[in-house]
Amino acid sequence: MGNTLEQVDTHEPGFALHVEDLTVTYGATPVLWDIDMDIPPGVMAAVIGPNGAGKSTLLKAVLGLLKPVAGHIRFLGRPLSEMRQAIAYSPQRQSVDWDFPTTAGDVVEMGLYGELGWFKRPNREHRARALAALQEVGMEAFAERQISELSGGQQQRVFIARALVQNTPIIILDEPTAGVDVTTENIILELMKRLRDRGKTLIVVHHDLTNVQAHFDWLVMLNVQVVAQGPLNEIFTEENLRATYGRRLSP
Amino acid sequence: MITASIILTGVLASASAALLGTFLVLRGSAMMSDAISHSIVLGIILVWLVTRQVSGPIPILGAALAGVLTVLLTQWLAQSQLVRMDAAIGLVFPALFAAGVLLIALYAREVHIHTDTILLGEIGFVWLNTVPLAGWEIPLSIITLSLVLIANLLFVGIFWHSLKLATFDPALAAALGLFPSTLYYALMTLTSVTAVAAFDAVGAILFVAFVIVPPATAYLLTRRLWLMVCLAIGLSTAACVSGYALAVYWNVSIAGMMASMTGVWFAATLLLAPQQGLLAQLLRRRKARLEHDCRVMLAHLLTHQNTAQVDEENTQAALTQHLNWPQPHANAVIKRALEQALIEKNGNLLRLKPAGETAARELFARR
Repeated sequence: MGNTLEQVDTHEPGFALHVEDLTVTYGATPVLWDIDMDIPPGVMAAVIGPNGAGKSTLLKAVLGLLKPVAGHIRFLGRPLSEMRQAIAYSPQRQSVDWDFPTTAGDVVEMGLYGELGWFKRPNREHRARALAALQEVGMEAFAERQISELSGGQQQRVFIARALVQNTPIIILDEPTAGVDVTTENIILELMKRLRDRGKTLIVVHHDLTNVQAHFDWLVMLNVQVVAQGPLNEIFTEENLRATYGRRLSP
Repeated sequence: MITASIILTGVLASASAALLGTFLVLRGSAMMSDAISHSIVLGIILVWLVTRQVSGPIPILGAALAGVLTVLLTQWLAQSQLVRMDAAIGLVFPALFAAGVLLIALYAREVHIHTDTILLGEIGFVWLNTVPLAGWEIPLSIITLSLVLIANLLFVGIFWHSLKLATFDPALAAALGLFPSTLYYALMTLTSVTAVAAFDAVGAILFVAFVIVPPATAYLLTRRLWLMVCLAIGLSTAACVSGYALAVYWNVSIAGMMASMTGVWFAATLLLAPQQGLLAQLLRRRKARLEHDCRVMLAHLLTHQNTAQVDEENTQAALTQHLNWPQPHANAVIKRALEQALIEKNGNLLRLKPAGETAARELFARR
């Protein structure tokens, strides 16, 4: 070989996300153990697993928010540093303070700050894009609303609009349907499917086993290690679920 | 002239503090300013021991490094996961502060730093130390604090959007490549510089009041970040002016009175803020309770209206005896229902009017 990975132009360019030998530890405790994972482009992939399986940690490590002990990550064959503008990310809703003094429209606009960098300011065009993204999630009437006045489901939709506004080929969402009612959950899942049908790749931490099958087409089953991964209808088996969740099947 | 320079010093210091304080309060790092303002005592005395200077750009930057060191040490301790963040703050700054106080006692008895000055500052004497500028004798503290305010305004103005995102959602800011921790350290460095520049005027403890109290007050009054910043600066300016006037009138500590006024604004706002004030909340809860119990009464009247017990049940007395409501509350509920033409009173008997009957039937239909 001779070349290290960093010198190779692209590595595994056929996958939207390629993770190899990824290990993350908190102190001596492994949180993610030697993860190999490939997600092809154009799928809607669910990452499932019990509490403490490392689902959010996996997303954070993939996005460079945590420093892994070992392993490397490629998006469409390229390292994260070259691909930031191609990836939209939405953390868990509870990870932010919804009493922060700002509006729904403003939160969506924040998705564009990466494009703007430290110094540029959003202009009319950016505001129009933010409004269009809110429209796409059916929240345009709430653009001027203070975010603490929104329901949990509305807050989730604002977060999704903030990922949408970036218009990226890859979208990574951490529990976008946590804490919402069934109707809102279906709205959000249908929206994600529309995005998939437009050719985007979605990588979603999902907690509700009852509707994984109906909505997703790719699955990563995680419990510190990858238990199984692949097209959903091939690997969504009781045996794999047992191996992922242990004896108790309810998440 | 003396009055003007004292008030201006207060206004410049408190506006600089409130500007940065807005982001610290929203980020949940407000008490870090307390740690910084104490640790700079060590910075100030160390710089004095080396340079024999207490004012000017070098002492300010040198002493500010002590503040940055506090932030670094605290973060490092907290990240070790052996102690929590609040304990880490409490471990670091008293140690640095104590070291500073010891060094003053050992080597710098003659320098003008006394315990009172450390805690409260000497805003009353800022006009003694002046430098000539364009033919005027300008107090040094006014020049320094003006420069600090300009630096803070530039920082917040230029990085406004990134700062907002880094404060609201640091994870996204990092994922978007905006380096939120760099912004955080820049914010903390400026907080340290501001603390040192304001030290002579307001001391270590009152500085914290100006960093935290006006933004916390503004937070109760608005749900827009830019307005919160403007209100925080406005409130701290008003506190300086009124605080000075009252301090002269009562002959008490000027800086202490200025800080007290920020507390007065906060207490008044906590009580009276239109949306989130305690009084507004109390009235809202009262109204909701009254409306709720009004519905309970309508349901009660509907259940019993065509029964044999109607003469006993559908009376004011039944509300207190059967529903176990205190007399004044029962009266208030009846009064409200009468006002809204939901019921009518016929002797002792309470009777549903058509509107009240519709409302009551809707309650049962809802199930």
